[in-house]
Amino acid sequence: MLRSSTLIRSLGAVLFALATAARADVLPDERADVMWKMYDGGGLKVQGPSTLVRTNIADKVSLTGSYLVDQVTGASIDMVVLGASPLHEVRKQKTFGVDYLYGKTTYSAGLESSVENDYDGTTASFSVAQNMFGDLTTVTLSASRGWDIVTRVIDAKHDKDPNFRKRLDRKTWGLGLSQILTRNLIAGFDYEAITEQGYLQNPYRAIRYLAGVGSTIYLTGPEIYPGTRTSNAASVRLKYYLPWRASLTGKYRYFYDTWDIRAHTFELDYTQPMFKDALIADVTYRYYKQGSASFYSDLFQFANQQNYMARDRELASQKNSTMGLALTYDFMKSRHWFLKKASASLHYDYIAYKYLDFRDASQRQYPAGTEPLYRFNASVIQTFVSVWF
Amino acid sequence: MNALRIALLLGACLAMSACGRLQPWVKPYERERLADRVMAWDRDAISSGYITHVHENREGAHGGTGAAGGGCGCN
Repeated sequence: MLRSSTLIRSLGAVLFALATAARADVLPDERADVMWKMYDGGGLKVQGPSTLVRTNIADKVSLTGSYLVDQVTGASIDMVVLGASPLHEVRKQKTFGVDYLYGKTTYSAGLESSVENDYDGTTASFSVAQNMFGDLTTVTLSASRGWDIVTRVIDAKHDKDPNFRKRLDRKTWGLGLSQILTRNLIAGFDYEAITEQGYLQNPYRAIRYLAGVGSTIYLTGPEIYPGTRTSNAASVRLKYYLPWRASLTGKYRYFYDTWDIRAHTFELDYTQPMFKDALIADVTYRYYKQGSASFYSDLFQFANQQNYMARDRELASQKNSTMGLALTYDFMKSRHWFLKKASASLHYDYIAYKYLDFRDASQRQYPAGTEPLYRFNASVIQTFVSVWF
Repeated sequence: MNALRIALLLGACLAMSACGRLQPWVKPYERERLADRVMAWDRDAISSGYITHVHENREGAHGGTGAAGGGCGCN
């Protein structure tokens, strides 16, 4: 089951990477990546291959294609609490994109499809990136439209509920700015507005509420979400070239939406080439903090307490810290056959999640509402080979 | 909300209309360091897309980062 509000975003990895690049008048390198990735944390393991290929035609057109598989196993805290069977799911995602270079302008368009047992998503995107001010500035305008279909699996054989089929429509608008400030410093600004309408909740999650006044046990009931959500996110980035040939990057993002979620994200990245440029090391620290949605509660006092009720921990107050290390080794630095160069990369990220108003309801030895606050750690491993041609 | 979008679009259009009047203060021959691969915003799109996806599926916030993730929230 996909989290609806983030379904369409992988297409942007292809399109927006170009759109927010330092220049819009040069096509990106022709390149192919093959990756194996794994997320392991909170009782779930998600792993599988991913590939991304970009090739150019006559220095005017760039084509990209990607394919990704997520194999999901395990049981999250929500599933443990509800007594659901462990997951064995597969998600497959395909994207296709075209970039057309005309003078100092790049036009990009793309399509994405994501398919799994109980969620189908389709997205179309378009963006325009323009170089200006002597190529010191790149401005990007982008838009996308997504159409999702949510269904519900009702047994271990993955049979679907024939009476449950919901729609979710989404529109996004984005403005990006990349600016050369000095010969050592570049800056970036991004703003994105997202409107969503339709079935925004997860059909498997439930709220919990007290069994009665003064009760120490809880019962579960259906979540009820609003049918619309509008989100705004704005970020600034600075990247500085250090005198010993390294770079330091700082990022900040502010997010708010009509569900009253406010979030801050800070990130620092340090990049250092080593061993005559054969190896590049990246060290990353990221801190994230958010407040809860207005209709979120870990434990409602009674059923039907509010018009809208949610106990999705993504809507709870939370904070997390990520520490990452990435190593890239260039094992082929000169042309060999039709390849220009090749590298191998290994990325490891450790994420510590801490919830401020979401309790571990699986610990039933505690009276309802007094369980320990939920927290867990996750590891993310990415290993991939890249070739330039 | 709509007013904010219109203001941003107008701002972008005004910025574009000023093209050519401003002299670049960092000349092309002074951009060697900025062209170094350590200064790329996103060296590996396949990786940045995935880690963004990991974060966004467990957080309430999304978007506005200049890169993006994808799909599976997986309960």
